[in-house]
Amino acid sequence: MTASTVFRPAQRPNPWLVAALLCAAIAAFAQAWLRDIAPAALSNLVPIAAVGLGYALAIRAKAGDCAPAPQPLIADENSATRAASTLPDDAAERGREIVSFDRGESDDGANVTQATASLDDGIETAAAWTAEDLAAFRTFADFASRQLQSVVATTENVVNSISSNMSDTDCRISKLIGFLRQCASEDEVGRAMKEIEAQIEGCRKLIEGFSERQREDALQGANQRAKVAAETAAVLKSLKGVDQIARMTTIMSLNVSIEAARTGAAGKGFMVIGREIRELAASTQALAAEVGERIEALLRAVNVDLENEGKRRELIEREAFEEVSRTLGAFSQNVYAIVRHERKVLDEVEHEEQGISDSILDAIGRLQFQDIIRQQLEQLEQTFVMVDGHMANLGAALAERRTPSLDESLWAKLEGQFETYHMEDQRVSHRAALGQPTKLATAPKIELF
Amino acid sequence: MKPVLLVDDSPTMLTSISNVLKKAGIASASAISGEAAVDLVNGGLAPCLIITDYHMPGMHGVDLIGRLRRMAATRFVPMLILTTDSDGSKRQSARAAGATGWIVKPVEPSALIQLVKQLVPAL
Repeated sequence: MTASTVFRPAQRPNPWLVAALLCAAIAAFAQAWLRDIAPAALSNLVPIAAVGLGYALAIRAKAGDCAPAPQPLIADENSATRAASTLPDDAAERGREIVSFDRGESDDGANVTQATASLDDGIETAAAWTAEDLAAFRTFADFASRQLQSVVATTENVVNSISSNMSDTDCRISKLIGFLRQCASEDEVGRAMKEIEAQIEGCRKLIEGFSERQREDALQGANQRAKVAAETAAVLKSLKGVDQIARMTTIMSLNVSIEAARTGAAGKGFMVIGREIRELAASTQALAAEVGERIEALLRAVNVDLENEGKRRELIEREAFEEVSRTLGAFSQNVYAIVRHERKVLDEVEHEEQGISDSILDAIGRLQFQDIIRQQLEQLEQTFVMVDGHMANLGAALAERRTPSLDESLWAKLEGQFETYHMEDQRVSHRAALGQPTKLATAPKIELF
Repeated sequence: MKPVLLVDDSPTMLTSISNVLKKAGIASASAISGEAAVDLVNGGLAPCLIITDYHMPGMHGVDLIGRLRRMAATRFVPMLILTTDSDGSKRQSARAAGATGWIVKPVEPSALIQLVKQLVPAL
């Protein structure tokens, strides 16, 4: 584009056309004017004369005698000077600037030419860079495609691992719950409780046996003591008999001594015998008294000390048995408390087990996300391939400085992607990206035909 | 008890749905494609219910349903389409081919179990 194109001379009108129009106008006017006032011959003659006049004018105009040919606005400096002489000073100066600018002779004109050349170089460089970048887009698209495939593969592996672990966890929980149920079943607990109750009852019976034997022992002891007392009393009574005999023997010995004294010398021996008998009787009496004292002392020891000791031990043992009985009762209560607690724990576990099971089931179902993501990524990969092909075509055309051979624009291709979508979310995203209404479909997620 | 036949080109979906059914005490058999599903049925598998994906390489879901409807072992078996697609025209084509129902992924596990038990009360 140069400055000379800006100041192009105006195009000359066709002289034949002008002349014809002028004559037609004159003829129409004249005929209308003369129709009513002049004879028909005259009114018809005027249009003929007008046509002839217009022809003559056209010939003259074509020959250059009528209208001058339009001249360039400013042809050269001389004409500019002449024109400028008739113009105001600033306009004339501008006119001279325009001429020199048009010819590239002024500084501004040279700058524009240089700028135009630079612009052409810049456009060429930009085209080369764009072609190179469009070619590089292919590599980028390939990289993106590989990354998308890697994402799909990685998520698939992770989902399989998670699914396996969750199934294993679910099995273990179910097994544990089953074990707890079995342990806390009515049969198991009932059997255990019956055994415990039987054992406690056995202990009580043992305690009762011990108590009974203790009472029997005490009674037997009392009987023994009574027997001893009775025997002792009999012995004492016998000792009294011995004492009585000793006393009678003493009396007899006195009588012997008396009779011996009456006898005189022949009775000395009987006196000695009598004395010996008295001594013997006295010894016997003393011995009987001593034995009686010892027996009484023994009786006191048996009746009092042993009885007290027996009562004391009986009391201690009774208290011990009562303590054991209370302990067994408390043990039984604790066992029942443990069973109730175990039942409560099992009820809570069963309640939570349902919640855990539901959570695991929900989590297993959520793993469907991987399939949805995979489909979306595959769709995205297909879009990349389509855009890549389009860009490659553009880049090749730009590199070869030719018009690209495209069946449709990228916009049209992107619009066409809409028909390939499966999911409503994809359609909504597409519409949103294009600024279109994003009304969601209302079809049910589950439908039986 | 007859198993539920699952058909999907996604191993993840097969694993997920089979585990959901397993948790409900329902046995299942899996096929990675429509052709594999046909082979299983020809091999003697008698499913009580078939759940198939729509978009699969080779034989897609509607074609599979049409094929299975012509086979004696599966002529009267309930068949469900389980897909991400929500297109109404595809839904109608599945119905015309003999599908029993249409489910849009992702499906709630409890809803799927309820639907399966509704279609197969014996499970």
